[in-house]
Amino acid sequence: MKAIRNLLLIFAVALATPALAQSVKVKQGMLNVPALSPLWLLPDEAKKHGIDIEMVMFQRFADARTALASGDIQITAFGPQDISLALGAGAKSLVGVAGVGSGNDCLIVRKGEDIKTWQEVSDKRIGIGAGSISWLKFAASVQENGLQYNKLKIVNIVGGGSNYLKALQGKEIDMAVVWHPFCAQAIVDGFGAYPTLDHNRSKTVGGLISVLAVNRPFMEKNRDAVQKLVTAYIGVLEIARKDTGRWAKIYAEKAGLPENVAAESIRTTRLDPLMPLESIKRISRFLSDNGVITRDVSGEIAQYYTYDFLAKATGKSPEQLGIKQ
Amino acid sequence: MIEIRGVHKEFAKGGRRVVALQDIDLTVAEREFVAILGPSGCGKSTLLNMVAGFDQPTRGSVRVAGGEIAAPAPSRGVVFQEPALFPWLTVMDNVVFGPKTRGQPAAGYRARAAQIIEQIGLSGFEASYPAELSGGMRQRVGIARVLIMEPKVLLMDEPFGSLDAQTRTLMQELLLALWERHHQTVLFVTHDIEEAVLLADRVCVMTARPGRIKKSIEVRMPRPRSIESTTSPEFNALRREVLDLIREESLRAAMETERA
Amino acid sequence: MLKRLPAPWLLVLPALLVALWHFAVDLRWVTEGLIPSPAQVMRSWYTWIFGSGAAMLSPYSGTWLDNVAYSSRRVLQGFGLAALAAIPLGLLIGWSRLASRVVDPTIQMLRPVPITAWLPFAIAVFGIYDASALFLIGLGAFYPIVVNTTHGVRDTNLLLLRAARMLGAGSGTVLAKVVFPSALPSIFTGLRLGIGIAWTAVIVAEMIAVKSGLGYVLWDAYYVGRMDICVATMFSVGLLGFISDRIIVWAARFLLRWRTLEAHG
Repeated sequence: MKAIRNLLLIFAVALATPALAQSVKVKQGMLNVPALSPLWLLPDEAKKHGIDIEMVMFQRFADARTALASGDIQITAFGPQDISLALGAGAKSLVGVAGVGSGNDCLIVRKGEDIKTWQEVSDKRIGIGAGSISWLKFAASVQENGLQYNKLKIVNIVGGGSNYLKALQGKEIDMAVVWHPFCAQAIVDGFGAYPTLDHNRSKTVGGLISVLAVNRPFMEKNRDAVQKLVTAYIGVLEIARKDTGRWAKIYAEKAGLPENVAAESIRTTRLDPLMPLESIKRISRFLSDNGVITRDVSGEIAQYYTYDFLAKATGKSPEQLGIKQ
Repeated sequence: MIEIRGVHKEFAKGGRRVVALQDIDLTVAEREFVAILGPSGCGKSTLLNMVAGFDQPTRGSVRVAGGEIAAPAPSRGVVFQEPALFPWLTVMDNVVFGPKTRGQPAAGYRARAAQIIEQIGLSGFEASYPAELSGGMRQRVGIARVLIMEPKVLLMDEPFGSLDAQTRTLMQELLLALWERHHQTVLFVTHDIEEAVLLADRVCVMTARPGRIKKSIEVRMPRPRSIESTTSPEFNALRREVLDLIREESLRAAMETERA
Repeated sequence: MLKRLPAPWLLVLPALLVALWHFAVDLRWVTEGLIPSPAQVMRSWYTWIFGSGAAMLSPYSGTWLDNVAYSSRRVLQGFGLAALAAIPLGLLIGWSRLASRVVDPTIQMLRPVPITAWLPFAIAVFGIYDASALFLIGLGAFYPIVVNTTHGVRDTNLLLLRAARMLGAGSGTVLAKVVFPSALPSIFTGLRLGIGIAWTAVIVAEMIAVKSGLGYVLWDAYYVGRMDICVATMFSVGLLGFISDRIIVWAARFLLRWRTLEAHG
């Protein structure tokens, strides 16, 4: 009798365990930006590892950053400058765990009105979204090419990227410093063109578009779950890289865009989980040098990025994953 | 001067038809001082408003100096129950409002205004605002601003009703003095019997609603009158006569109100 | 009757709130780094006003006065336009039953629409420059002014109107010399409410493509996580709104001297 009872108990526990393991619920912050669009696939992938993801949409990176810092969400992707910005203000609860890739930011001008050199930029009106990595890359590029950012005719456009396009078409600005899909939209609609100028080559800021980050308290209590998330994430990048058609389709569907715009948007994006730490340090320096944040965090920023999860998920060493880049 | 013929006034109130005045016939001769006396709600103010031009009769006619009344005018000056002075204007500016609006030359009306202000006993207060004056003083200004227009007809709607007894007495004396000077045709509405008998040549007693002229009583006391006149036996006899008439109507009015 | 409290008492509540704020941050009742401490705000505000030789390129160094000037100009212009449109319209609606029936329902239907909801429309119609901002600020200030003006007109003592007509004033004179002065206290109430809303609106209005101003700085600072500047901006707008309100109150007190007098006859 005792034996049967013990057997039944073990059986019951065995059945219950996966159920218990299945109960990790995670909130993922999400924005409708092409580079982040593979992340639409994360919930399905994470489910295979026993994580239940609920998506929370945000309009602005700043909102996602705030939500992650406060713990309202546990994982999100945002710009490579966001953890530095938060740290500059004293927020210590963000940890970067993986990169997303490069190439999403773009410049766009009216067709036939190319801008070839940085010197030409001084008397053009530039529409730009403050705080975005686009802005950082542009500002850094401007400085590296000997111009003073403050002397440029900057027009801060807030809200949707479509406002940039309207302003460009309406000749209220001459160049928009935005990100896809807006450049793609302008190209497909026929009134826009990529200028010769390229701001993705800034030595300071580099080309990194985004990092994947988690909430630190959550991470410290659920290292297992975070590992599963990062592993799932690597899987998602694989899927997107192998099948760009599927990637474009998902993006088009979620963003409500025509497929040709979605395709153009992702054309120049390169997905890569690499996290170039030195680049991130330079970005931090740039921010404090220009008074955007009140203190220099480049010395401590390394403590807010970890390669542990990425290394285990990819089988590569931190050096291979960008710790010295 | 004022001819009211067959005037009938009714209005709709909450779906019901209310007859305020019924079959009013009244003539006021030139330079005559007529008081209209009646219980509350009898329509005496409504009648005055029609002579003033603020309201129209439903039937019948109101003529002043032979002409039908179309609208209010300075020739039919009105002194209201409340002084209704323009609170943002000084006493002087209130008094000269009429002539100024009509575009009369300042030199002319300023002098007259100063004179009238003196007559009403408010010299020295020309630059004061209504808020700084007592009720009695304000009403004096109300009279002054009408007098400066040299109206043929003076219409007064219970002008001293909101004043205390002492002030009221003073105002009555003032009115008598002013009227002795100019002898306008006056239609004076009041609910105060003694006031009516003291001031008027003739007292018209109105019934309770629907208002009709119950009786017209001549006041044959000699002029010029003063407050002392109120103690004479003639005065008392008249007062009693009017009081009896009024009492009936006041009771009727009170019962109507209870029923309504 | 309560005697007027000496000035120090006015500071008790604000001081308590600041203390509460300080401890909330210090004792980490909120996630660290999301809310700045009062001291941090003061430091950053100081730098914003007076500049600090070091970060010369910083948008938050020494630029306070410029931003204040810019926003103030926007507010005054928008508010001025609103008053110019709203006061005559309010007089008309209050005075003429026909005008009231024709115009008023539309105004009342549009009134609940918040300024933020007008933002896309403003951008579409006026583009991304000052005209949009003026439109939004003016729109915000418009409603309290027109509503209070109408109210003031309708509240005019009937006897005053009768007295004026009796003294020989035509409709035009009655409107200008009796109705308008009588409505002036209400109009000033509307102006006070309007200027308050104008300062609220400037934050929304300056979101759209202007290069400076307190609203612009607020959003700019938020994007880069500078909550200390955001708070300093809030205080700045509050301060300027307060000053504007006081100016209107003093103007009203001056023009409406006759209201505060007391009888002594």
